[in-house]
Amino acid sequence: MITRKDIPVGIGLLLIALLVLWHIQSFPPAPGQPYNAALFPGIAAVGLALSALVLIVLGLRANPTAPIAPATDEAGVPVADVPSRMLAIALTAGSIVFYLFAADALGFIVCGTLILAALMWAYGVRPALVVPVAIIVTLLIHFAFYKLLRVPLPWGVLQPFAW
Amino acid sequence: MDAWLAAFKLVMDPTVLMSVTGAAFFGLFVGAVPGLTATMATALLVPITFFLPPIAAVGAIVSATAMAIFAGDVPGCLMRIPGTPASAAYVDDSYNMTRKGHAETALGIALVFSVIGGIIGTLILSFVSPALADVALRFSSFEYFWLVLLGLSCAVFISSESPLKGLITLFLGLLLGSVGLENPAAHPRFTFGNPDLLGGLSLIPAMIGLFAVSEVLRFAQVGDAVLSFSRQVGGVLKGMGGLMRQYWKQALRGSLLGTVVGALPGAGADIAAWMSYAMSKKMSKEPEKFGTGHPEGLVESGAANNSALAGAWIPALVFGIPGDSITAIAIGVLYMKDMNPGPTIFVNSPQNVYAVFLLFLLANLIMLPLGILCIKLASRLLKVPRNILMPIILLFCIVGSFAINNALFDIWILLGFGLMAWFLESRGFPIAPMILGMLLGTMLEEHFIRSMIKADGNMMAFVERPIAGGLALFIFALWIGSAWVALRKWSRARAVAAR
Repeated sequence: MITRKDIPVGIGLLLIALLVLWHIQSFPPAPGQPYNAALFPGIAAVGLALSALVLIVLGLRANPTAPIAPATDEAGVPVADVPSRMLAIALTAGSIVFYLFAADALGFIVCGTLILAALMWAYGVRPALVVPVAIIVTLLIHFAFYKLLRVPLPWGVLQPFAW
Repeated sequence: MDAWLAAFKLVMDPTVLMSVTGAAFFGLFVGAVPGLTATMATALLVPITFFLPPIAAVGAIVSATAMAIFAGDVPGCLMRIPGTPASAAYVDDSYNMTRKGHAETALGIALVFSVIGGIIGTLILSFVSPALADVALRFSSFEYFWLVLLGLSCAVFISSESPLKGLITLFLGLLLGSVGLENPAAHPRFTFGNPDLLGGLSLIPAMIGLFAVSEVLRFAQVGDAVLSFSRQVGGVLKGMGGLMRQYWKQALRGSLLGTVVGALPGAGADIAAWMSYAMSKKMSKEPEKFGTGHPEGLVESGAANNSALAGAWIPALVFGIPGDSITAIAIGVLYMKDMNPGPTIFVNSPQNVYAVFLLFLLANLIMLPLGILCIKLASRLLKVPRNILMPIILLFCIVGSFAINNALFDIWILLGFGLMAWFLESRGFPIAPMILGMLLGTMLEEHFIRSMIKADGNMMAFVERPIAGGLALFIFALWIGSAWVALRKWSRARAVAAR
């Protein structure tokens, strides 16, 4: 089903395709080969651009008054973009970004506990459970990966207490 | 025969048996909890399999996915909420059986015919793939070029209700797969001077992002639905013998269709279930009963989705072309473990291939007792608080992506792909073509350039060999046919709109 909502997505994809096409002009020729490294991304980008164009055209032709089926949860109840949900999404993605920037300084155990606590809070877990579960699970994951699988997870601020 | 014996020894290793059993419990859990899919189970397993020996790693994936596809039927049957997308096709039938007081029968069908489908699929896998590998040994880059192209085409045409959107994610996947140095010209493409990108976008973190992080994001968006079910279920095997005699034809047909659909690149267990449910209804003497709590469709598509799992391994083992998103991840694991798929593995280390067959058999056999246990524990399993589970999965994704290369950069890839998959899926774009594009794009390019060099730039060489020519003809027919169908659908829709 293609609707008006697909038009902005199509425009975004078209822009990406055009950027790629412009960028691959700079690829040097490959000596001894009939084509250089630009051929395949070029084909993919042309394909993407054409399909994005079709998507935009079909989106424009779609009946503007046709109701767009709202996202629903598992029980079939429509999901509104309520602020608390938006916050939950932002926190989910944000927690990965947080880990990327804070992992080396704070260490895995601190970051993991904070991430788990923040997300459980955002997803509506009973407050009394949040902190103990966050700490215990982080320690378990740390044990499994650091001790058993020997993944060098950073210690960060807990370095003096590393075990 | 020696190879089979060696394979048997490989599988009977304690580490392997332990991984298979552990993964089986994991798979049952993931399958039974709605919102967690079999593909996600595989993606979450990969960081662990990384530290296992090859056969144990493959065994874990095989057993976790087989269990997850069965277990997905349990919440569907008890609460009308499919545990995995593969159980969605027949959820009305199984739930209505429960409402009529036949929960035991519905769950029994789900279990027994999952096992039957899985075993038939495994048998087909064990007979077809060595024969196919014999043929594939004679393939050159020309045939491979067309095969890969066929795989990519299948991914678009059968994997989604909107082929256009499938095509778009396929092209995106091809572009993402072209990042890095790994191209015939060895030119660093789209790296923008970043050394982390020279090796390309790491596949494992990308897939964990695509199939696990995206689900956590969707959970955050959709929120937690209260799942509750309190009813003891027991004696699920009662009456199964009668059903087997009554519906043996449906079970066989479902398993066959499931295996074939599974073997087609891009389509896996969920599409197999939908297609065989439709097929069952069409062939049935009492199609009006479908959807009201009738066991027939349940038998056929319940067998189909489990047989599809084995079917997907046929192209994966023989050609290195994944049959679904699960095998796409599994192929990544095979490469990691130096078990590179392709026809030569059947010649050089057949015991490894036979071990995969035996693992499938083993997984489907232990499904019977473990499945009964899972059904017994269902009411408790379904009470697992998903708002606690999802944050744990996210943290696990972060650590798991990091663990593959001990590289922080891989977590960026995780984040990027997770957000992309979540956004695209919420707009109705299928993700499977993207994964195939990323995996197969490099292969397609390599075979194309190699063929062009061999043929000295003569395009005709691509169709001169008989198999290559046949494949090319088939692909063009598929393209033209699909375009025609799409056009007809579109013009019919317009005619309706004009009225």
